Amino acid sequence: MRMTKIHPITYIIYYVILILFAFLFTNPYYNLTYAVCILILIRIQGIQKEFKGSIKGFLIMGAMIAIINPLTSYQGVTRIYLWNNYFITLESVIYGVILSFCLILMLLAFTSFNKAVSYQDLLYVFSKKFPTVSIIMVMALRFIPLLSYRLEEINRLHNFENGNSDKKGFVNKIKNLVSGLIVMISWTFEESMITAKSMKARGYKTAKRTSYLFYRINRIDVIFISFTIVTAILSVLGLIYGNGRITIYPTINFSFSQFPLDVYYLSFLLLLLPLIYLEIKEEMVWH
Amino acid sequence: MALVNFENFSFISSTKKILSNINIEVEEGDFVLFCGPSGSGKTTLLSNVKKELIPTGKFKGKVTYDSIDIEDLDDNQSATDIGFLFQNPDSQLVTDTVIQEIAFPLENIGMPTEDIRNRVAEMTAFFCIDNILYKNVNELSGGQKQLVNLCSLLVLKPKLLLLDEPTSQLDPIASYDFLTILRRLNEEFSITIMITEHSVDNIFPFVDRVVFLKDGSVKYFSDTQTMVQKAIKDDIFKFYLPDVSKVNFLLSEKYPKLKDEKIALSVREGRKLLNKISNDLEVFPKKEKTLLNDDYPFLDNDELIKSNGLYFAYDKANIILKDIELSIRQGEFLGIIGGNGTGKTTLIQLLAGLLKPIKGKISRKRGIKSAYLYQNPMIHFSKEKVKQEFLLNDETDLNNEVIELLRLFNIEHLLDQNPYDCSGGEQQKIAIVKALIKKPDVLILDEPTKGLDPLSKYSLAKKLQTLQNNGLTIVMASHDLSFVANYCHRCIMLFDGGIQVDNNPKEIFAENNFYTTFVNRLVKDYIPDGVVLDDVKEKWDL
Repeated sequence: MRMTKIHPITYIIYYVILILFAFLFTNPYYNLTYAVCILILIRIQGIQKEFKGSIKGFLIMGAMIAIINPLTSYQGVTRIYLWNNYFITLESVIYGVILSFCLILMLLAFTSFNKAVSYQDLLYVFSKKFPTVSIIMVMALRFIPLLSYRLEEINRLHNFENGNSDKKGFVNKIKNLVSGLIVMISWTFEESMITAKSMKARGYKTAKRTSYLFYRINRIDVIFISFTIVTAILSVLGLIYGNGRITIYPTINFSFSQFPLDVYYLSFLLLLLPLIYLEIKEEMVWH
Repeated sequence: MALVNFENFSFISSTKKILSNINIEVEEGDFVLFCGPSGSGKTTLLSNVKKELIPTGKFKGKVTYDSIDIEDLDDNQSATDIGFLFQNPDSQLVTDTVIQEIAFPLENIGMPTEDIRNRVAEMTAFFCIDNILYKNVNELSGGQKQLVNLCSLLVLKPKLLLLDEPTSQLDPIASYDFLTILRRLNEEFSITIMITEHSVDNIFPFVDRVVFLKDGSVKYFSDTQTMVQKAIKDDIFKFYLPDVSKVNFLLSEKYPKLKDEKIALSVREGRKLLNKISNDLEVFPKKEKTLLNDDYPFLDNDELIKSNGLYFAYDKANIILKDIELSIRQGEFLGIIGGNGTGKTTLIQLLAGLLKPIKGKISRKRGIKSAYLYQNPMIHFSKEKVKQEFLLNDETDLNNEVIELLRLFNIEHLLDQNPYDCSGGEQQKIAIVKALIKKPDVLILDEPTKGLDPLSKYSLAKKLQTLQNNGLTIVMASHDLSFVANYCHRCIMLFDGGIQVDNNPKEIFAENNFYTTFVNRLVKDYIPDGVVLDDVKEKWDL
């Protein structure tokens, strides 16, 4: 249970900015800072497990983008000949790497978002404006696991019955699959009539829906939002003045010796820190 | 003045007359039980009291709630004042978490957030489900689900509850708990309750009035005492009486002294009566505890299925079955009992071969075939007509063996219907016949009596016995203790993932104090081994 209650809207604003910034800033120093901070955040949020599950996919996707970009784009001046007349450009290689890195950062930020904002919170945000959408969401969350469980049961039974009759082969497999789906659909339709009745019997559509979920905008939200907005504006200003982004095409103007230690970089760093600070503060209570 | 009033009410659906000439008055605070064979119109009757659920069809006469025609009730009033609970706990859940489900009706009527939270808090504290508030509904047991469903009605502060076989899908302990809550609601809050039920042993002692419906009309309508007197002479409704009352009637025929006493409805009342004639009653000593011994006729038969050190689990944290050693012999009728979640279904699925054990071995005799029947027979149907379900590999017409089976199970008249339109009992029979067509050696059933009315249960038992006499081996997981006690030859009780007892059912129930039949609870001090009505008849020569 968390002790700092932050309004879901605050979270959403913060993470939207974070996800956007993953793409806006291409300076490797900014990217590395971003990566370090988001990894620390994921670590303290305690979602290494989900992280380990998804990072593989992210990395493969990133690698594919990094490979495909130079194969399809020949912008840039530094040619690298691979064989005979076939060449790729150094710039497009680097562009691909940075692009895929940004994408991975964005996905990491999204993983962290999923942990910070439960679907209940999202529901709250939605239910004010779109009550129907929110009820559909909740029902989907109930029925998708139920249907997959049913399909599993049906398949198990079918495998069992067909094992008995020793019928194999592709056509039979398809036949079984179809008849399994038919069973599930008719079963589900039958039951959903009762679900519909039960909704109706409990007054669904008699009045405009309200929601039991309840959040207040607290002092912490105001501080959090102002802090985010100030640091974000400063970082964007920096971007406008040419800090935090590097030009790649036609030639790269970046050298590792130019560490961008200025007010813009610091505000970018600060933007990444508040959640880490809050999580650590929370942890401290228990130690 | 009556809260609910049926005045000469008849209801005709598109094809047939479902209710005719119903006259029932229900006072505020009444607890009314509706009984009757499936298809007698119980559900239609209840649905006609709830505006939102009135089925399509023509009706004559009228139904009123608080002197207002049900159809003219205000939407909001109908939703809040009258609660309707359905049979299947799963299909009426709409959302994914408990708290969301309980808040659902309040959100529907547009209640402010603050008030919703107050009501949810009050209701969940009263039912002690505040510790599962954020659980996913799929993780709950059947009893908990039904409790959540009930809570979700009660937050609306209803004056009238309509319950359509609410406990038919629950195990005996969960259903007893559920009925106890209903009783409290009725007694402590004077909520009027109209309920349909098949197993009446638990509920009869505390209902005010009983309605017996047959073919859409009211056969009997009176208080419980008068009802038992009338119903015991009726060929159908004598099945709908508590076992305790049945024993009472048998005794009062032999001992005229009891004729003037009130008929016992609960075990407590029954034992008081027994005490009155205790001098005349023969007391039998408790038999020596025996194991499945030489009397057991199937001990020397071939082993069809044998399991060695069976383990099963879906994840490391909770192992469902541990070290199961079991052998099933030719011709047995084996009942598997045990509380909810003890792994009954898992065990029979392993025996059938639907699941594979994670450790241990199951060996089957060469060439034996087993058939498995799910709790929910609907999973077995995929055709439009019942007849098509019975056709094997491109046959165009039913062969003689199938026709014979159809005759045995009395379902010839259903051939042209859609299996989904048949009643629960009929579906069960269709599924069994469908399984039997493949000529299995072992028939494995999961809760075949779930939701069946007493008559269908009895007829199913007779059919199973016939099949067993023809050499079929039957394995059945069941919650229905009296069914197991009456018809099984061997019974296994699962506990904590293992086989706790494996013995003759009578032996097991005679040993148990709580997890036993009503007859046994009644006569325990006189006939320790008396488990079913026939035992009592035989011992006391009634």
